[in-house]
Amino acid sequence: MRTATILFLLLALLIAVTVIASGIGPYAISPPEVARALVQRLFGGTNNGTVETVIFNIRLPRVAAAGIVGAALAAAGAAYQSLFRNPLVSPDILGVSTGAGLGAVTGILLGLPVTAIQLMGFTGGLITVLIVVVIARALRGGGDVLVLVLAGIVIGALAGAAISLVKVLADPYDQLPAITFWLLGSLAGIKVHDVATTIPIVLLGLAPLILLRWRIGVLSLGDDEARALGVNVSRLRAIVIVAATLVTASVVAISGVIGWVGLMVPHMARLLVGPRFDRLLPASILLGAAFLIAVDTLARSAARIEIPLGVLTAVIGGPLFVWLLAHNRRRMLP
Amino acid sequence: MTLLRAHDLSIGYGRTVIARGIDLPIEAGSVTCLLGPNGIGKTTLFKTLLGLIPPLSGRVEIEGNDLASLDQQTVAHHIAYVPQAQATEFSYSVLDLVVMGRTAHLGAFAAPGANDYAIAMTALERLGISTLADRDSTRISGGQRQLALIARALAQQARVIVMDEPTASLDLGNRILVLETIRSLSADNLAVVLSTHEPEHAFVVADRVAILAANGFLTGPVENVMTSDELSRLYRVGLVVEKTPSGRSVVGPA
Repeated sequence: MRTATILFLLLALLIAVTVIASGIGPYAISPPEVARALVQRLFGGTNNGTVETVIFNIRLPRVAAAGIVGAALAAAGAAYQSLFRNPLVSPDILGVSTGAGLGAVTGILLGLPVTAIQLMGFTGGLITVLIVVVIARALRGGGDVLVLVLAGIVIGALAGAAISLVKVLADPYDQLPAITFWLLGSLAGIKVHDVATTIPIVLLGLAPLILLRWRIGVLSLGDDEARALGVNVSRLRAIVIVAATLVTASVVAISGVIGWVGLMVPHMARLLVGPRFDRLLPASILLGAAFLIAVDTLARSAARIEIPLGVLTAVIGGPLFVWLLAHNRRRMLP
Repeated sequence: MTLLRAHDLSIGYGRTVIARGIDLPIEAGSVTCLLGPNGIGKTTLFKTLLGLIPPLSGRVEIEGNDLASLDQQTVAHHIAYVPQAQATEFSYSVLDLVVMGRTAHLGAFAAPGANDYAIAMTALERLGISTLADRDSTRISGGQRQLALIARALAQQARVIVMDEPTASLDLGNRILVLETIRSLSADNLAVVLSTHEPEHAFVVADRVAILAANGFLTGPVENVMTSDELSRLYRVGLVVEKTPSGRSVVGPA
């Protein structure tokens, strides 16, 4: 199948998942009804029935948030896998998630309001990656991928230790459950406002990845080959790290730490459209959005209580990944 | 015409000097064979010629311009690099791999267009492997992958092609195929620089030989440099160059 056809089908899948997910919940709405309300709103109709209130004020903000978080994590994962020439790399390889976790957890400990906690999460992620890059530069002139990864592991471990310390210090009845819930990832408390502030930052980070898609793909051949082919490797690598860090930190700030998506979705996309980054990136974005919307719908509707999203992505993602690996080993592994 | 020239070049990393005083002209339509024992720094010399690492002193000139003053994209218009044919981590198709040779000719935000694919296909046809275009580049033979990487260098449309041990780990048939291909590239007025472990390859393809050894750098026409004495000195064993009855030059123990 041609790539354009596959991308079109993925877009159709994303729309279908969005419509179905917006109908699922305590107040069930059939997919045709959801579609009718969406089309009506799109063409300026303002019918303020219960159906519209549920869809536009309750369901859709959360569905949109799940879509953005999934798309951002998958795009960052695909970019890092190309950058580090390793299909086993995920967006938090340089410690962005742990750093964001430390920032947010400290905010919870200090009893800050939700917006401030998100801001601290975002800043924590950025600062962590900044420290990692500075250390790598100091050690080896900044050029070496291996030094970057090792610095990421060390700083990630330090941030992880700091998170544990905050947990010990936290009030076990009030703050500790909030911290634990945040670290497992959830979209339960999401507001329209969060979605509106996150979208511009995610787009700002995705834009360079989309524009430089071809060169980022060439980077996967290795530094020397990419440079001999005319790519300014150190500049491109800096751009990819900044862009991927920006999108990851901005979504982790509103959703908490959600694992697996950034590692697994690019693999699924690679099965569909092959390894070329200019095809992999749009496929990962669409598939990541659809995947996380589906999983988040399960998280809020499968049980009487809200299941943490990070738990579900691991429970669903892990076995799915093994199944894919078993059936497509030749195409997934080098 | 001299396409590439090394001027009193010292190569190495940081404070470690690997070789100094390298003067090497690369002429259009010539094949230059770089010989030297393992670990002596042949790859370091190539990386310096390609502008991947800076020279410790001296300079590399591309058609009269100092390499250090040019950006990576401009350099790629003049020199192409054919690495040893290892499989990559990602299973690109042969055509996708070859079309990456067009990167230096694309704008920063562009992806290859129909014209670039046409050039890539022409390069594959030129090397007789157009039937491999849609095959997975990690699932073809080493010789085929080497030819695909040479095709990528052709698609880059640079006039100097630097090949790092293009015949290493190939079987006899593929070795001859690759050497014949290299010879035919020089007939198109391209300049090829290759390193090899087998001195006899220099007799087959090269116009000029460059020898990088522990006791210095030496270059000149094949017949002047590839003598029993020089080879014995280079490899530190007694070697003798002999002509077979058919006129072929072979190297063997003295």
